[in-house]
Formats: sequence, C-alpha cells, structure tokens
Amino acid sequence: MEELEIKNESVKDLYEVYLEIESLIKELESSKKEMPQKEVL
Amino acid sequence: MKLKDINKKIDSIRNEIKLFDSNERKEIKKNNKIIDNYILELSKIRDNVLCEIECRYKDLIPNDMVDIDEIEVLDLLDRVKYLSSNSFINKMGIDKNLYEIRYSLSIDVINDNISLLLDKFLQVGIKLSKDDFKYSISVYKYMSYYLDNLGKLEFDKLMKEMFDSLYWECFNLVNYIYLCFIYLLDKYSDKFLLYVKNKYSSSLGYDYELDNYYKLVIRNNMVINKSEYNYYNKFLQGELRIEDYLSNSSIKKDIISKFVDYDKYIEMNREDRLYFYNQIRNVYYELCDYLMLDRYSYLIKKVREIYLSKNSYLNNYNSFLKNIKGLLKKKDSLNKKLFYLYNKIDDKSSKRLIGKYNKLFNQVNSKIDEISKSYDNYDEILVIDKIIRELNDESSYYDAFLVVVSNYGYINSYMKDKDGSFKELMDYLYSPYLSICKSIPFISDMDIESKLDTKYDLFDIEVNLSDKMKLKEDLEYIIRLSYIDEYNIDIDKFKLIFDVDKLFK
Repeated sequence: MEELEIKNESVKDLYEVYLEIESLIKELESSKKEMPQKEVL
Repeated sequence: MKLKDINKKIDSIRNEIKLFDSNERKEIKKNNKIIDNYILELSKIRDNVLCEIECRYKDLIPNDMVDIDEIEVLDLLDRVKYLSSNSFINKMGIDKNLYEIRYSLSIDVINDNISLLLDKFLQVGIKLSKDDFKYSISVYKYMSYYLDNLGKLEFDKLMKEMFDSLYWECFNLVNYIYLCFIYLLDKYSDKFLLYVKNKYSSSLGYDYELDNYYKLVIRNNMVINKSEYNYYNKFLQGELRIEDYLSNSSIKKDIISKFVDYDKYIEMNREDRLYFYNQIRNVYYELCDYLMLDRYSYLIKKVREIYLSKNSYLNNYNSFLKNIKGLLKKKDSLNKKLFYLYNKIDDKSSKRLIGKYNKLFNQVNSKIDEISKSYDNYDEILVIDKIIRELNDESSYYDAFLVVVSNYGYINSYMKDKDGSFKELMDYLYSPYLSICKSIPFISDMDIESKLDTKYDLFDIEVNLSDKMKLKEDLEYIIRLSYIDEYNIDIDKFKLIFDVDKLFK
C-alpha cells in the first residue's frame, strides 16, 4: 500500500474520510455475491 | 497517498463495483476476489487514518478550564453580610447557634453549637468558666461537666449520659441552656459590640463593599461564560444536549422564533444581534427577580402587616425587656439562696435542709419557666422592633427582606412550612442582577406582572408571561447561545470530539 500523507490534515477531514471508508467497506461486503451451484448433469 | 487521493480511490471503487453485475460463476469469483482485495486495502487505510485521529483528537479538547477563586467571593460576601447587619448576634452568626440549641433534636448538634458559642465568646476575649453558668443548678451541672470533658475522645457519649441523668431533674434543660446564653450575651454585650466595631474598621462601608462584591461576581460569571471548557464539560456531563446547540439545531429555531422572527435573527448584523441578546438577558434577570419576589411574597406580606399596624407594637420590645428584667431579678435572688444550699448539702444533710433545697429548686425552675415562656416569641419581638425602627414608607422589598433575614431564628421558624429556603433567599438577595426588588416600596401591593407585561409590549421582542417557568428555560437557552455566539465557541468541534471519542471506547 502506498504510504499515507495525512499528517497535515485536520481531524475533521480525517474523520469524514474514516466514515466514508467504513461505509464503503460495508457496501463492498454486501456487494459480494454467492457462487451459484454447479449444474449436475 | 494524500487525503484527496483516498477520496478519489473511494469514488473509483464505488464506480467500479457498480459494474459488477454478472451472474456467471467465473465472473462472480473474479469480482469477489477484487472486492476482498479492496476491503483489505481499505481496512489498512482506515486503520492508519484511525491511528492518526487517535494521536491528535485530544488536542482539540479545550484547555481553558476556569479556576474561579471561590474563597475570595465568599470572603467578600461574608464582609458584606457582616456590614449589612447592625446586630452583633447576627453579624457573628450567634443567632444560628442559638436557634440550633433551642430547636435541634440532636444532643450532638446542641453540644456542637454550645462549643461554637464558647469559641465566639473567646473571640471577643471572654473565657467562660463554670461560674458563668450558674443560671440554674441543672445548667451549672451540665455545663461544668461539659467544660471538664470538652476535647475528650468520649465527649459525645459522656454528655449524652449527663443529659440523661439530668433529664428527670429538669425537662427543659436545653431551653435553660439557651436562656443562659442569652443572659451571658447580654451581660458581655459591651465586649461583643467593641469586637464587631473593630472588625472591618478599615472598610469604606457597606455600599462600597457590596459594589465590589457585585463587580467580582459579574467578572467571574463573564470568565465562566467565555470559557470553552465550561460548555464542553456541560455537554460531556450531560447537563446540556449538544444537538440543541449545533448550527442546524431545530430547537434553536423554535425557541428564538418565540421572541423574534427567525429569518430576521439570522440576518441580524453583529451589533443588532448583541442588542437582541442584551434585551434577552435583561428580561431574564427581571423575570428571575419577579419569580423570587413572588415566591417569598408571604414574607413581605408579613412585614407589611406589622409595619402598617406598628402603633400597636410600639412598646412591645420595652415591655418585654422590663418583664424579663423583673423575672430575672426574682430568679436571681432565689437562685443565690439555692446555690448557697447546693454548696452546703451533702449525704449527712438533714431531711429538713434537703426539703428546703428542693422547694427552692422548684421555685427557681418555675421562675425560669416563666422567663422561657416570655422568650417564646423573642425572635418575633426582635424582628418587629427592627421593622419599626429601620423601615419607612420608602423602604424597598429588598430592605424589608434584609430586616427579616437578619434574624436567623425568626426566618427559619417562619419559613418552616412554607415555600423556599433560607439559603435560596440569601443567594437571591445578594445577586448583582436585582432591579425590581430594590426599586419597589415594600408597602406597595402593585401588580408587578401587569407592569412587566406593559413594559415588554414596548419592546421589539415578544415576551409571553403566560408560562413563566417555560419562559425562564427559553431565556436561559438563548443566553447560553448568546455567549456561544459572542465568544465564537465552536460547538461543532465538540461534537467531533464526542463522535471520535466513541470510536476508541
């Protein structure tokens, strides 16, 4: 992972990004699909 | 990677997963793997961001904690109260000790107050000895034992045993001790008067000290109102709800709209807004003043009643003193003979001598009972005398209150089954924000509420007096808001601290 350069960012902006990331992780988890069953001949 | 890059990344992932719509097994497998990788990558970024937040968010907590010197305020208030009274009994808090001795139901409390009184005699240079307590045989026995055992570890236990042993000899012992102290205070009054005259002799007077006290209270309040930490702590402790003070609070709009058009409020320039806040503060102080006047109106009514029929009380105090003087003279003459026999009597004394002693003992006690009966209304007699001597037609509600609060026994007995408390009343009387109380003559029975209504009709803000407690609450809210606004206190920042804090708990 590329190194983060966030030392100069405000706590407010960091917190907003944190919320965005958390929300996206939840979206990603729910967007994963179940694998369909293999068709049995 | 900078913050803007992280945001870009978030957007691009969001856009990318929107396209993951295939239901083919192979595609799903591939997409799920991509998603897992993103989750892993985002989790690492999130943890780094969190780590950075954790390191720095506590720096946002305000550190302007106010450290008000309460001792300075209390010292000055004591000084003011001291100068406001012209009775040494009240100035030195002796009235409170006498009240506790007379009415307390606990022997320990009574003994503690006796000790406080002994200290106050010492302060003026009098070390009371056993001989000072020859008011009655039982008082002498109790107080001799008291002085002999004072300071011992088992003092409380010993005094309870002593009280118990004297109870059947003298049911009214506590009352006799009270009367004995009244007698001693009168006997040594010159020393007390000299002491109170010299204390604060360098003072420039009551008005000057009161003005200094008001200035100090107002200055301290201003320091508290300016303090960011003060608000932060109130939100932290749950005394105030932060949601009510955020820039987008709905309560804010509801409450302000009761007093002024909200759009107008929003458009107000700084000067107009400060003017609005100032009006709100003045209404608040007047309302508090009025509510307290209303709460304690029964006291004013009583003072007014006495004052208006003062002619019937004119000789009350002098007759009382004359009566007591006569009773004391008779008691003292019998008491002298009684103590002579008391010192003479022993196990070998004849029945006749013991009979004579008992007869005298009962005679003295019956005289003291008569004195005690005369003292039943002692505090009221003192207050009535003060009302007659110190109040006139121009005296304000404030002056009338000061007369009654200067007698601790009277005010506490009178308020016993009524609304309010002595402390609350004193806090009110020494508030620097009084206006009505100090302006209206106590003999006037004007309808203050209608006068307030008329006044507020002339204001350019709406003030509805129909629900005064709700009005008070609303005014308090706007006053807090006014300081937050005036001193640029950042409530949104507090919200951020609290939200972030939850992440690490």
